[in-house]
Amino acid sequence: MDNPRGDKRNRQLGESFWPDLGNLLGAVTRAMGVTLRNLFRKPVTLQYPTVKRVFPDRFRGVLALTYDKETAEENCIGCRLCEYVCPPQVIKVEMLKAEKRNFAKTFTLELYACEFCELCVQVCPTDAIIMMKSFDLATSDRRELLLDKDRLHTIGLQFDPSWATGTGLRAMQTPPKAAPEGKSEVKAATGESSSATGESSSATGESSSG
Amino acid sequence: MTAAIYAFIVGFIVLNGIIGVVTYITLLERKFAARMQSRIGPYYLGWPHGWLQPIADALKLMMKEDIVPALADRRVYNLAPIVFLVPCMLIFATLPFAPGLGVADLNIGILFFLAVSAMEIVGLFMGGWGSNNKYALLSVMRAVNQIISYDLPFIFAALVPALLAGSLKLSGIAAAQPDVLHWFIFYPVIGQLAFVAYIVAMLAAENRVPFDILEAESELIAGFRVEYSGMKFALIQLGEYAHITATSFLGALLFLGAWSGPGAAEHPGLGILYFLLKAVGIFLLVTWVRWSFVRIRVDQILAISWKLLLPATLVLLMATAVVVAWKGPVVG
Repeated sequence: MDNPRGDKRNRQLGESFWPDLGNLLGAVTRAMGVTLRNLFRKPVTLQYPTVKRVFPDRFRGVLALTYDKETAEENCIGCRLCEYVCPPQVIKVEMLKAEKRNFAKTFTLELYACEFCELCVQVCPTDAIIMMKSFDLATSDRRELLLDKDRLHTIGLQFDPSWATGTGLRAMQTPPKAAPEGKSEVKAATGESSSATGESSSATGESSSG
Repeated sequence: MTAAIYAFIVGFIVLNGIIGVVTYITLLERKFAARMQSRIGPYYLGWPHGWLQPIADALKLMMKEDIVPALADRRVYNLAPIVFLVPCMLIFATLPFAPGLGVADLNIGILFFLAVSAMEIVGLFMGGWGSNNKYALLSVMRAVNQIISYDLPFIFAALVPALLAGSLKLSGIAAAQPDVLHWFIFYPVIGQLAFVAYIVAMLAAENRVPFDILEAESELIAGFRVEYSGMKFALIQLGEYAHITATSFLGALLFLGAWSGPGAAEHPGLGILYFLLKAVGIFLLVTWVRWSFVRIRVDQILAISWKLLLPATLVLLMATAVVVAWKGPVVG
């Protein structure tokens, strides 16, 4: 009873009748108990088109381009960083040089090959490309998923934006910067405070040598 | 002549009623299974809760193209669904649904039931052989193996109430259980053990999980009906569910007192309803088991049958015989 698996696994049926029967009855009761409990539980199914699940804040859905809130200008400066970083290479950007700032002349995104990795959002310096809270991407025509600049801007107005923006993600990912002066003091302090851990010894060694 | 006409009319009603019940028992199973997995099940087709789904399924299967594999043994392949369905429907003939209401209340009713219900294996094997498909063949080989192994415990378990009642007539067995306390499931020790053995053997004889090695959807796709489509597939499904329904009815009759219950003596209609509810209860019990367990191996299945269930039911049957010889059969 204490260990129903393990050493008893290779035994033949009937070798130890009563313990086996006890195990069996226990297992049957447990298994049927689980299904019985589920039977009287509320189903977790949501009737999708009529009832929609609440999206989490960091939802990674369809991509979109944004406008500046104050000036209503396009945020995208056509820097092509997203094009370079995109692993499946679905983003194609052409830059339009202008006097004050640059724009994207064309911006196409082949959503049918997109893998929703969010790297383009992470690198975007102007928070121009973001992800929206929507997964409703099914269409009967593949060409509808070849998004151009206008379509991407429209999507940006259609759905709720996800939390993640370029600056937000980068701020989250950069390690906390130490103050320029008193650098060694801070390091020594952290090394002392957590000297019990193995990693901290290297930090103290570094500070003493530097 | 009038008896023949009566039998024909009752047979017609019973046959169509059974098809209706069997169609809707599939919906019941789907809803029940869905709730066990925290799902909803069929929902949209028919308000409320998709009650039109079985009819839509049947219509869809009727409309579907009937494909015969090129290398199939055409005659055997085409005949198999009918050979499979006929015994599954025939076993309802001896079932009395209320006192005096049945197609043919034979004096060897339970023997007829058990013998005919074992005949489904012929149609099953024909289907698997005729399809000329290795998975179908594997499936029916397992099925023959398993059904032969489990028919004996099934028959022994089913014979315990017959022995207790001192009758092979199904209506006689039902009459021996006139009220709740006289149901054979409440017969001390013997009744409960026989009921458990009956349920286990029934699971195996119906090829339900955990004894579904012949279907084994993860290895054999759909077992012996893998090559069937359209109406032939529907016939096989119908036969299978008819068989399960019939064994549920038999279980309700043997152990749960058939139509007996409060107020059933005065109102025969209530008795029919009780009988149906009890049969559905046994069906739900079997479904509950189905959705709680995983499939077990072939050797385990055979070991359970030959090493455990067969001797146990045999001993149980002999013990029942001793008790009956000592105390005399229960006569209602």
